[in-house]
Amino acid sequence: MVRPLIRQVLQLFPQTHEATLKSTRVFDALIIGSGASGGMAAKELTERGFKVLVLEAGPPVNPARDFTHHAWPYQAMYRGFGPPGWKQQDQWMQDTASYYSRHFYVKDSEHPYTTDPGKPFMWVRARIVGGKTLHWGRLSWRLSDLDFKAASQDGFGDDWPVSYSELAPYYDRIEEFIGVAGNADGLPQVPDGKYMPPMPLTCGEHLLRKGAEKTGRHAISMRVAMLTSQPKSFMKGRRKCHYCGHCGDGCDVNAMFSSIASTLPLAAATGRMTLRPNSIVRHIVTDKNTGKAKGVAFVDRVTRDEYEVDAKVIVLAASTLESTRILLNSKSEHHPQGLGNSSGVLGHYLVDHFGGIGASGFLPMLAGRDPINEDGKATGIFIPRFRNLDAKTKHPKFLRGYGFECGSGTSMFPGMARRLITGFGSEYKKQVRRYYTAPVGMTTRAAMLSRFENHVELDPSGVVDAWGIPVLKMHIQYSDNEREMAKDAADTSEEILRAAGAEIVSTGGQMTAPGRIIHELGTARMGNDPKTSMLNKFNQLHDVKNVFVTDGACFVSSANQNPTLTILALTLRACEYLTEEYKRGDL
Amino acid sequence: MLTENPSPKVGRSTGNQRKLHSIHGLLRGRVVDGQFDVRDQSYRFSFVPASASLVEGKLILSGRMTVHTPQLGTRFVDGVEARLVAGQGGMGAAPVRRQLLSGTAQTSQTSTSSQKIEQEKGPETDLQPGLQPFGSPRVDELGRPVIESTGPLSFVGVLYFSLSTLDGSTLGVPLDLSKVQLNLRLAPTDDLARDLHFMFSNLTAALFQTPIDERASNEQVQELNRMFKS
Ligand SMILES: Cc1cc2nc3c(=O)[nH]c(=O)nc-3n(C[C@H](O)[C@H](O)[C@H](O)COP(=O)(O)OP(=O)(O)OC[C@H]3O[C@@H](n4cnc5c(N)ncnc54)[C@H](O)[C@@H]3O)c2cc1C
Ligand code: SF4
Repeated sequence: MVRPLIRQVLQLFPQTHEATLKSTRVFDALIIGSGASGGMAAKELTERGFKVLVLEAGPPVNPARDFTHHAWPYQAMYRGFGPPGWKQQDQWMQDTASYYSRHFYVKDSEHPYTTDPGKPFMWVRARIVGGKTLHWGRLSWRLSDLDFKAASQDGFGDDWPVSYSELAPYYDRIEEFIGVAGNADGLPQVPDGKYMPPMPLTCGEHLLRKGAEKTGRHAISMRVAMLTSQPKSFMKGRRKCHYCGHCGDGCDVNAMFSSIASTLPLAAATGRMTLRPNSIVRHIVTDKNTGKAKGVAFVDRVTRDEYEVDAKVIVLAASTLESTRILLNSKSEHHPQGLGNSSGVLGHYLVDHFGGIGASGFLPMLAGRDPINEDGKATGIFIPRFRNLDAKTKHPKFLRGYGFECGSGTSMFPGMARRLITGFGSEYKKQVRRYYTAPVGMTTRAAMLSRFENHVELDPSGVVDAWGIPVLKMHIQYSDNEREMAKDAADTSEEILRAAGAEIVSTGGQMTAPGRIIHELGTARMGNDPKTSMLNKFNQLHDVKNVFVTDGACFVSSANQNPTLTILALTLRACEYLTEEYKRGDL
Repeated sequence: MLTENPSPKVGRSTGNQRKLHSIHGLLRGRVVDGQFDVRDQSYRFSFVPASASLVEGKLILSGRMTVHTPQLGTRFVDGVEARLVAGQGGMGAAPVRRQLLSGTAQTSQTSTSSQKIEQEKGPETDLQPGLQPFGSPRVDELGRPVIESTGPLSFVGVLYFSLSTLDGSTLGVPLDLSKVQLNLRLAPTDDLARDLHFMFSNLTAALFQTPIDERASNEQVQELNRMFKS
């Protein structure tokens, strides 16, 4: 059943139109990257009539070969853990890569970056057609004015140049287009949207919700970009989720949103998209006279041949830090500090969310019950931010807030057997069987303050990647604000688990290293003032009107919600604006 | 089709750059061992440092570079210099020394279990009803959780060296080798590499601070030379 579907989807991606290419000396728009943002830009711009070239650094994807959907551990050598040492060899910083999903992630050996001793940064990257959307976690929350206008409320940092009401219609359209399952919960910190039915909670999650409510917090269904009802007519080649729980290895029925399931097929169907994989953009080429962008220089990943191509507008969507790296590498006479960087803020205000803090244990009332399949539901329950929402919830020791991602239920690999139950022999097995049905866990997703000193730069010692492109040096550390928040999260998660009646096994933890949550944001932020920001409120470089940066680099602050829904909404809005400006001849 | 590699012809070709920019290897014993591919051809290489020195505050390793291909066999050049320019990852946080581990059971246990916990920490996608383990909370003086080291291989670090100019024809590599970067990854699996990692960690900590800790770096360089000779 599955294979014909894949074929059907892939047929939407036409062969390169040689005729179009021959006649296209200058593309209307050139998009760098085909992940969440690049895919959305490709769809929007081709549907608006632009002849678009998408340059993607990674290889093409072949779901039949690259997705290991429905593979059982026993079908793989080493039960899916891979041969000893494979990670050390190639992918040691790609923390989330499993042996099944390793080809979605970059090889660290080819893609270095540098840090100072004792200041770790984990940069998890996908270089493949579709980018990180092939295996992302799908959590899709809106930001609210608590986030967009946080600075006005607590005095730290800067407000975004956009407000929730401006972005809300774009959130609506994105949710409807990608398909998000969720509930309208009526909580202002995570505004409601247009949802498909939510995934039901497990028994343990019901108990956890009650526990959270007892402590005055809300616990709501996760909002996830997965199709829980019949796909709408425009969702060609996509199928309803069948709860197999393998999303991290690639969904080959396209029930989860990804660029290759959703946006790129529609862009390709217009006949106006040329997608060139294996094309690593080195820098943006600017016109010597005007300082405007006239194209890009790229290198073929495989042959290592060098090219230049011209376009009237450039959309940078190579992911937060790759886009910033390209801008930093695009120095010229007009732009001596990097493209569009007269403000000097390019590379600054880097943030990630942090996690690693929480609590876990067992719900004794569920121990020993008959096991049922609960891990097909590849998501859990969320406790949205509850600190610093208003005067009543103000925390004396930190600004902003955090939420908890939680889960409870049985799973194929009963992790708790390895992690939480001690002992050995038959008694150990008995314990595993008993508690297999009862685990519960909570982990933090927390905001990080945007601070100028957390930044990236081109490595000053001249380190390059395998293609000779200068790499980034990362400088990022948490402040007391994050550490105080982590302490509060450790205490509160324990309080909630206890209120849910759980037996606590572990609490606290260690804050994840910056980057590990894979929500790296900022470094080319938006703003109304060109002296303190890179982009205007439509993601357009203040200094170079025909360049747009539509990925997470544009974020002014991190909020604590997962960023991709906002990236998609901002991309859509930027493309709408770009089209108007283009028509007016203002680019 | 996304299943093929169409590489549609777009843009102007600005030439073929037959340059080798970087190679990467793992430290095995005191040998940096690795492989690089050029089109369809794979080359195994090893760099064996014979001595270490400090020149203008930079670590320089000198030694033999060997390249092996099935067609041309093994070729080598002596006196190749590798100048340390940058680092990444677990460098700076010196790994617990093997001797210490075997010396005290307690240290050994702590290290092993905390490494295990890091290995098992779930990614963002780990929302399934399984569990996130939380390591025994390590806290700062104000009781706040501290930051993890960089994950399962937290003591893995990378040292980036700039190699002195190599001659492609001598080594049997048909590429411009005038400016090759050596990415040396430290993921020790043997005792000698573990000890060297310890030294490299201390050395980078001394070298990458301002001002450089000259005494400590000189000591480490002497120690490195002793180990290279042993
Ligand atoms: C395991 C995992 C779980 C996640 N879970 C969530 C979640 O639950 N919710 C959420 O909101 N977010 C989540 N994220 C993050 C989410 O995937 C990203 O926010 C999102 O994909 C960012 O979109 P992007 O277009 O900016 O970057 P990407 O999707 O990474 O796409 C960038 C593309 O640009 C290409 N590129 C890079 N450099 C160049 C270059 N020089 N030339 C040409 N092309 C280039 C890359 O190859 C890539 O294809 C998760 C990520 C991972 C890995
Ligand atoms: S659980 Fe649903 S979305 Fe995830 S891989 Fe299975 S079918 Fe696809």
